[in-house]
Amino acid sequence: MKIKLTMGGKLVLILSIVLLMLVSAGVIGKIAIDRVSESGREVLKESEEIEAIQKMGLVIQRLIMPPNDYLVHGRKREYGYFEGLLQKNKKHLAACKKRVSAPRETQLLHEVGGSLEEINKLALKIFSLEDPIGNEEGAKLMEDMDAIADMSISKIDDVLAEARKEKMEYVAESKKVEIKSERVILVVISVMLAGILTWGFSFVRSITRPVGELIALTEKVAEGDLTARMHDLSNDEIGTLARSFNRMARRLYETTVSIEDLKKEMAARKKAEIEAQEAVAIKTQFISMVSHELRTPLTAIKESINIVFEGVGSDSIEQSKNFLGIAKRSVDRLARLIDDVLNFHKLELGKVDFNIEENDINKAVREIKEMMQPVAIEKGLKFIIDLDENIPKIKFDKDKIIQVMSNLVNNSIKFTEDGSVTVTTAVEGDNTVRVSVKDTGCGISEENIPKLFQKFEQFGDGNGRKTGGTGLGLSISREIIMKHKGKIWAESTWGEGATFHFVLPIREKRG
Amino acid sequence: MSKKILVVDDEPDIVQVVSFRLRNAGYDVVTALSGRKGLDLVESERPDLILLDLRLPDIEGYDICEKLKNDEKYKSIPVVLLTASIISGSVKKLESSGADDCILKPFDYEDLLEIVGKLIKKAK
Ligand SMILES: Nc1ncnc2c1ncn2[C@@H]1O[C@H](COP(=O)(O)OP(=O)(O)O)[C@@H](O)[C@H]1O
Ligand SMILES: [Mg+2]
Repeated sequence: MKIKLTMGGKLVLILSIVLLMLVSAGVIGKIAIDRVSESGREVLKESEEIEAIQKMGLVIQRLIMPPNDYLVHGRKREYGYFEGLLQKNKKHLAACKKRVSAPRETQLLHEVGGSLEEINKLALKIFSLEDPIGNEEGAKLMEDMDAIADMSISKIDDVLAEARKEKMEYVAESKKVEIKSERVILVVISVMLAGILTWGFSFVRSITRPVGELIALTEKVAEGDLTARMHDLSNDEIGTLARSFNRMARRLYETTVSIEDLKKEMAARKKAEIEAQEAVAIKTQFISMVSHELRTPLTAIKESINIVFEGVGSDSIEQSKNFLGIAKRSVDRLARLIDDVLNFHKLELGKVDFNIEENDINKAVREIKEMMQPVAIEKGLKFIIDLDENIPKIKFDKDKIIQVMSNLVNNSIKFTEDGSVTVTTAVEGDNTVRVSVKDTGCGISEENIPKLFQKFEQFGDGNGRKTGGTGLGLSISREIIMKHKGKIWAESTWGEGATFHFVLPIREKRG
Repeated sequence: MSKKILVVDDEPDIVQVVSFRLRNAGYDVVTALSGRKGLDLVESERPDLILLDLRLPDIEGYDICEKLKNDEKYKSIPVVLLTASIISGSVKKLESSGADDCILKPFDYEDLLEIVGKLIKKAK
């Protein structure tokens, strides 16, 4: 089970662990030091023993000196010295006995006690000699006493050697203990250190890792990714921070989304509004155009028929013919209005069937020439065709393309006062056929060129010569060309004539 | 001496039928197919009345009318507007142009002659 702790909790835990380690290190150190000092005390005790025993040897040596002196100098007071030394010896021995604990040493001291008694006896014998100087018996006694003293001293030396050896052992052992405790302390300290380091490291990591993640996420959010979230949520303060971060990011996302929605809605409304305004404008334009295109020919028809019918004026055949001619033209114009409007409406709704099949574009141009040349000649214009005879057969709706060409040629004748109208065909690029209608008329001003193909747009010739029309011819032409996956455009300089081009694809592009 | 009427309209057929009717009624008629030509004729012909189409390609009928009505020399010449679409000009614009009357196409020639006659008589 993973225990979840707050950062404060972690800190407290770490501190208590460090404290625990310190306390245990202290305890271990104390025990070690105690042990060292204990062994030291033991060594000390040992060396006191040795000292006492050593002293014992010296005292014994001194003890035999007054009897010897008595034998040399014969002074009676030597006995007093001896007595004093003996007492000292006994006291010392008693003191030694108290100190010594080892059985062998006790035994030795016991033996030394015996020797002291023997030395005492021998000394008493010596001091009882009346004539000590050069006394043979005295010398013999002295020899015995010497031997006893020597024996005691050598015994003491033995014990001393042993004691020294023991002492050395003690020292070695205490040294060992010292080293051991040093090691223990060292190990404890390193374990402690390692523990603190690992804990500290993981603790620092446990803060820096989520903080690093948070920073990365904040950067993401700053860069606009409002879906960025912290996933690893701990129970500590960092976890709380991460949760607040997530909340903040979510709120930001929600508000941004709603603002975005709002913006979209506003844009949509604005667009709808503009579209509605455009629709109203187009409707007004349409009604105005239809009204004009209905009322003008109707006026002419009504009046000219009335004039003929009433027999006003000269009432000649000539006059009647003239006014009936006006009536006929006006009827044609009415018919064209109806044709254009219905045609365009159907095209816009996509309700016109196209009969696209393999056809000869040059043949279509020749048909146009037959139709339009008389109209051009009547206005005093030349009608020229310039055909590329190598054009391959392509697929198009012949009637519709003829309608486009007649619209273009009609416009050219309408807006040209003198000069010519030229229709050209050519292969353009590797996949299109181009048809161009060029005139030497008034041309179109630069600002009007982009508006040409919009419905109901009419600019007249700008020279005061107004022409009847619906403003739909070019819109219809454009719809037809688009249906063929072609393109239509105009080139013109104001006052220098205009050229209208359209291209049709030779093969339908795949894909 | 017969009165002179200027007919300004870009539709040749309309010009023809209107001027025929006016001539038949005893007026002198001069015609123009554009606004500019019309203004020229006002100066050179000094008509007694002007019939002016609203929808002209070069200068709008309103503007011609306004121009004339603001000119001391031509102010007194009555102007009758001809329009094929009442939508193409608001009533307000029509009033502010200072035109003396307005006729919607198609019109009855009796109405046209009546309006013309009245205005010419008034101008005398
Ligand atoms: N060859 C041309 N030369 C000059 N202007 C042209 C030519 N073709 C078209 N236009 C301009 O484009 C307008 C729109 O033409 P179109 O759509 O055919 O309508 P319409 O012919 O009924 O006026 C014309 O009124 C005219 O101002
Ligand atoms: Mg046209």
